[in-house]
Amino acid sequence: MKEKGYRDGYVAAQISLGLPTKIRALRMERQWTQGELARRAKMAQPRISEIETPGERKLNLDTLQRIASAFDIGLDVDFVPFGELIHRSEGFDPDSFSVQSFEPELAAATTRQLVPSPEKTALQDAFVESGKQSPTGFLLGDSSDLDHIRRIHNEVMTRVVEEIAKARPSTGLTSMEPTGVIDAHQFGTLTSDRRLPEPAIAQREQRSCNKETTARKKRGLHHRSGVRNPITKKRRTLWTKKATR
Amino acid sequence: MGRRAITDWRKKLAVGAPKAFLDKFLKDRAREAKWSYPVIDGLHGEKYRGLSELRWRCGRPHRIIGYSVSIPKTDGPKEEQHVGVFVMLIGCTHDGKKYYPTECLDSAVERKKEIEQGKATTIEYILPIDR
Repeated sequence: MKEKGYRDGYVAAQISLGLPTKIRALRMERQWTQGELARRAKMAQPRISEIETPGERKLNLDTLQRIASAFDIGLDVDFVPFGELIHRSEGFDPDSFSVQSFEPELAAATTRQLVPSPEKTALQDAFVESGKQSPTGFLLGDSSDLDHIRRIHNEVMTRVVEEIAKARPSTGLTSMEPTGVIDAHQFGTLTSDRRLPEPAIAQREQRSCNKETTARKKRGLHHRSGVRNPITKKRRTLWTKKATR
Repeated sequence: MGRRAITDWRKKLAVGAPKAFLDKFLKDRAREAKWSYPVIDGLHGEKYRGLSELRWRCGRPHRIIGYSVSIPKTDGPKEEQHVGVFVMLIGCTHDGKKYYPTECLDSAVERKKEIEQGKATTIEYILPIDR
């Protein structure tokens, strides 16, 4: 690592040997054939075979984007210090390398958002009430305790299902959609009195300002001050003189 | 002091990419439980029966010729009493149908025979430290 040449080679090796291994691991995880990946990435199967062979093919960003899109995952190309690169390389395990696709990721995130807090709170409350929790968090006792735990668990799960059912209509997720009143790229929440958020007001003012400017320009006036544009006037005079000659 | 086939071959490789590629390739393989094509492929021909080559490319194709064995494990659970080991016999490059050094395949056969007859021994390959 002390030699510059080796460091450069190390970076190249991470890309040329590391990425094919990762691509292959992702494909195997999904139990896809090379043909399946090729179809999804709109490539030929022999090309996938080449891509998966360590060092066989130089991978460009376009190819990587297409593969990331086929797996429906993100792609991160970044400049990092060598320490971090080594750290990442050391932590890489081809057998356990896994990246979740968008859909399952979203489903997991939604479940996390909806389920854990009431369940966790209710379970904690139930265990504290029962007085069966040891200081380490493990439950102590005989078989009657197990029945007690099962009963608590069933009660808790019923409460969780009820709470989720109640919570669903007002999860707040719908308010994250673009409202249509403001520009589509703005994911700002719209309050109930239909008041536009600050950036949208500024944009609206800017738009009306632009209309006035265009109108002034059409009339041959200075776009900001509204007086007759001296430059335009001078140019017009010169042009008239030329035409007269 | 005996020879160390792969360590010596590594020393002869250029400092830049070839050495780094070898290190990275072996490091990844060491972590992988099961190897399959295209990183490993069996050699064809009766003479080379039982031999395989580890495959990667750094400019030109690079190969390590060797063979897999199962050795008994002293520790661990009962169902994992044996562990798979790949004995690396020789490192070489490959271009078209030619291997460099040209006699590397014969050397690999010879070395395998020596190990099996007890005339030569094996030693664990230590992956170079990154820092």
